[in-house]
Amino acid sequence: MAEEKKKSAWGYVGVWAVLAVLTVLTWVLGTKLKLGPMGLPVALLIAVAKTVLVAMFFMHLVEQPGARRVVFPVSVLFLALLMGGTLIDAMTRIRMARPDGIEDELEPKRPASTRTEPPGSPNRWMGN
Amino acid sequence: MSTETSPWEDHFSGPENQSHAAQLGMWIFLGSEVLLFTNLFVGYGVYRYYYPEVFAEASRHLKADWALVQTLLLVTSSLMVVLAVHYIRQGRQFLTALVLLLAILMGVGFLGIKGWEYWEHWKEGALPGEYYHFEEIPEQGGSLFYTLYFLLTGLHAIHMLVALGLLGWLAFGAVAGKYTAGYHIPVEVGGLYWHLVDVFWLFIYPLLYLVE
Repeated sequence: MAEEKKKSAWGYVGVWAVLAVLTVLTWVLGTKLKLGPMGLPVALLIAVAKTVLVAMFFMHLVEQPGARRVVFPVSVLFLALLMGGTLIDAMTRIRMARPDGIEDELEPKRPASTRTEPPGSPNRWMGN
Repeated sequence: MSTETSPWEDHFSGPENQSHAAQLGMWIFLGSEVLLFTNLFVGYGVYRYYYPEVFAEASRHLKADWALVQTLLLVTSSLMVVLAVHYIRQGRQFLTALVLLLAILMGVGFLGIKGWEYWEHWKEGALPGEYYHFEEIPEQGGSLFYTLYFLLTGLHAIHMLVALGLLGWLAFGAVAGKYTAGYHIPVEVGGLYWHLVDVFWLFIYPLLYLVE
């Protein structure tokens, strides 16, 4: 443990400073600058960057050997598979099978903002 | 090496192996925690796809400024926990306990803000499921948003409570002299859990509070 004694804690403070700046940045982007459709990807990108910093330096993944490095990325891979598969399913269903796909006369009157975009509109990525 | 009071177990054939086993076990547990939260994140993704406008509208009624304070509190507490690991690796037990106590204070501050937010939601009727009677946001979609909000932040808060208890136990152990430069596996492993709880919030924060 002799070499541990010499190691400085300032590296951790540096990582913390970057995390704090990114946190304020995502707040400014989300509440002041409003990026519109780009808001979600940018916010998630910042969250992923912060997660990488926390996992690598605060959780010491960068100094870990072997199997311990693999577990966390694999769990993220499963997250992506589950999220991706479910979203692709939801986005490609026919309209009738979705919560807003009820026939007009059966449907209770509610604000248009509660409905998803009709098929063919530019804000809809996929689906029929 | 094994006596009645020694933390080292004979069946690990050495301290290095025991540390490896403990950390790998913790990482596997953290992986399972990610999958637990994944279910809620997938539910959020699907219903945000179905009701994008309502989700954005409901999100504007949350207190994004206070969520910024909460995020900064959590990120700073994570720094305190990593400093605790850093100090105990050098055998400085008092400093370890001190930064752990600071981290606990920040965690309690986080939960205090959360509790106040819950109280505000209670007053305006923005509750999950059938208890939803918030006039400003349409029930369809809005009720789902607030249900997911309470599930995500509630599950996170439960994890915070467990992690706070863990940090308190570690601080107590550090003061009692249980951990040294040679033996500090619980501090390392407990720190990992706190950081994971922090990481979950890093995603909950933009998804719930900063929806466009």
